[in-house]
Amino acid sequence: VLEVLLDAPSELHGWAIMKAATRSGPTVYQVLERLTEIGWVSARWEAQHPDPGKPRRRFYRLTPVALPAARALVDERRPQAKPAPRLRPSLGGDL
Amino acid sequence: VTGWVLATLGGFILGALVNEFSDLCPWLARGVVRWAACRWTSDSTLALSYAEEWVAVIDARPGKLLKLFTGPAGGRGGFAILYRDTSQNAVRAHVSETLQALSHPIQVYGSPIALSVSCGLAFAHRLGDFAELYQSADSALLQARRQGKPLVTFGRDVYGAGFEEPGPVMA
Repeated sequence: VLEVLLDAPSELHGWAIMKAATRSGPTVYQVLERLTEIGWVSARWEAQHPDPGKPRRRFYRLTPVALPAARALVDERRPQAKPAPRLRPSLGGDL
Repeated sequence: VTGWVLATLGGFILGALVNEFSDLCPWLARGVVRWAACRWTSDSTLALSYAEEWVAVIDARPGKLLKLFTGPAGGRGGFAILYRDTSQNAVRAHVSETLQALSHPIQVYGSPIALSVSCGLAFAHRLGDFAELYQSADSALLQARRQGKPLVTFGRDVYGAGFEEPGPVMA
């Protein structure tokens, strides 16, 4: 969820976060609750859905103060790419 | 025998269960979401806010299947699916098959993640009082959790006639 919010060009609503994070509703909303509690995420209701008759959505975004810590946390948790194996030339004998 | 089957799943949202099994009644979705929001938090104001938000989530979500987000049995993640005009055995087989597929760890960033899912099913010949159907499915979910995971458990028949309880099924 944090990674999705970090990578998002703008604020995201709940379904967009679930879809991007490929995580379930309860998982996403539990994370959003925790992030909101610690001040990492802010939320706002849209005034009206762009499509008439549709229910209004709630949008989430990372707060500016959370950005450095969030990025550091995601970088820490993201698996490091394995270095390419170093090929040692065989020169026809033991080195 | 066909009717309504409500499946409540706890532990993990099962994307594989998302199919076109049933049509969704908008009024029913709103009711279920409000119910789920009240179970998510004891703060009534916050519950109303979640209910409104999740109506929008369901609205944005493609497909016809009802998916709701609730914390059955004490705040853990879970959800419910409503199958319409189907037999209990068809749903039972479908859920069991899907849970079986989930019995193997999935890879997340190269790390195996083991999943555990419990499921409670309740059957009704007609959709009269949805709350009663939900309570039956929720009780079955609690029973499944107490007996171990992963487990599919049938609740009591909400509307009586023509239902032979198949008993717990190990998935």
